[in-house]
Amino acid sequence: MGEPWRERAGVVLAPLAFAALWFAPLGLSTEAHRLAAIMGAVVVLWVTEAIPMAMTAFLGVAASVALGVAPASVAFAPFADPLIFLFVGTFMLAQAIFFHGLDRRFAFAILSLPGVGDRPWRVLVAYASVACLISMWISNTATVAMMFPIGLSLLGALESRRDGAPLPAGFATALLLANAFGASIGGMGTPVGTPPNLIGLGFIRRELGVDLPFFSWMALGVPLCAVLMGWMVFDLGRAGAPAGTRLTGVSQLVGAQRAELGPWSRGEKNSLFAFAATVFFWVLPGIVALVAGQDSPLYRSLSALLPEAVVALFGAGLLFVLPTNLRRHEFTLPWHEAVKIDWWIVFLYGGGIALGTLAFKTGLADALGSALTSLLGVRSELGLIALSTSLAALLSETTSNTAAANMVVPVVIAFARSAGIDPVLPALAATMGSSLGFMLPVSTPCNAIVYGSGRIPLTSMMRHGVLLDVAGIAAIVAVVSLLGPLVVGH
Amino acid sequence: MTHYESLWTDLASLAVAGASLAFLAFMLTATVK
Repeated sequence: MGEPWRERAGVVLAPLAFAALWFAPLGLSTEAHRLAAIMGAVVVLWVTEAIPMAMTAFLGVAASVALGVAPASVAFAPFADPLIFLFVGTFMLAQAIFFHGLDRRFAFAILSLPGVGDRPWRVLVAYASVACLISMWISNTATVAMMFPIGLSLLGALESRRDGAPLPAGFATALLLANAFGASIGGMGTPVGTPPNLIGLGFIRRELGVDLPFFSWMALGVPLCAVLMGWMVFDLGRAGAPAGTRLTGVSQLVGAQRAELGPWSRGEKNSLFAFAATVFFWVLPGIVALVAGQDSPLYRSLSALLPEAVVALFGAGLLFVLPTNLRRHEFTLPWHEAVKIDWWIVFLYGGGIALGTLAFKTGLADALGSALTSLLGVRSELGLIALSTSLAALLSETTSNTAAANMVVPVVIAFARSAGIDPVLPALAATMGSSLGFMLPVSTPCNAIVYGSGRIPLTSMMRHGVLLDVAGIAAIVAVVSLLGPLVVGH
Repeated sequence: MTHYESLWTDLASLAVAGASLAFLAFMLTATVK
């Protein structure tokens, strides 16, 4: 993913960072000092992507054991964190949806809603909303990859029309950017929307003992998505889909594509059932909490017995027992498709949580936190929320969102503790901020895919991306500081 | 798949889906207080 010069720089800089921190007089305990050297190299490797990020995570934990920072059983334990199994289950459900083409069916259903097809602005809104809604449940990148050919065929059909008004200049750019941006925004909507959310939630649960239910995340994430989608559609619509233009041909094209999909297959129905049942049990404890209260025994036992990870595994399990062809003994998700999930994210999550946990255990995180407190002088919760969001957004502009969350959230927690601020909301803001980063093709694979079409000038991506970054930081700070206390109770 | 095979598959899917939900309900009634 990274450019060659960046990867080469990592090979040189990682050992240098290790050596520099190893020999620097840091005034830490032996374990914390050694972990600092390891983390220095790990951060360089994550930012430069000199070696695969999951392997960096593995090597960081392995080096911690070899250098005596922690015994192997302690260091590797976070790889069995419950959220690991939430990743596995969710990824398999998404894989089934993708495998059977349920996502395409949904996309065409929205695009053929009455009234969508005849105005460029409405096409843009519908297309972006579909990307956002789908990416709340399956990976941002997979969403963009799925919506990209649909967008290109829409554009192709619109450009080859012989009658009607010509397509507004800049519409193609706006439509394709709306796909990438909409998918990134949608990822913030649910805990499973994008890996950084689970990484942040994992740190908040392990280090702060605060369990944020699925429903509570959505109570913050969905308004955030709505605000950002509103801004994005306004900004891109102004540039590429002026009001008053009429289009012809969209509904015919979408209708033809829909007809090509044919009737619902057994696999699609089964995937939809497994997915719907999973989502139902994900939000059920939150609904019970709303009705019966957070202290009710029913809510307590439901959230203890059916945590998100357990629900996801049951839901994924359905894919292997719901048949698609009895005679050939075929089930909804064949195992050879199931193993295609993004294991690197699962391992990166495990390694990130493992290194973060060690940083807290050895006291390294606290030392870093108090150093930052005296350096930056932020004393208020609102100030720290703003700082955390901006830092995460800035970092995710150049490095992957997942790595940004892995690096920023533990630092923010330690920072907040040493400044005497409740860390929950700043950590949550940093988690959400890691999903920003809209400016460059390298910021996220979503941007890279649409940029690869060759139809988006870099200056357009940067101009609209920066505005969306700024809007995103403002919206996260507002949502977390205003709604956060109500939802999280901190 | 013939028409009958696909009908049987549909029925089996429904049965498995129903049985799964029933089993989950059974687990919850045994554990939720």
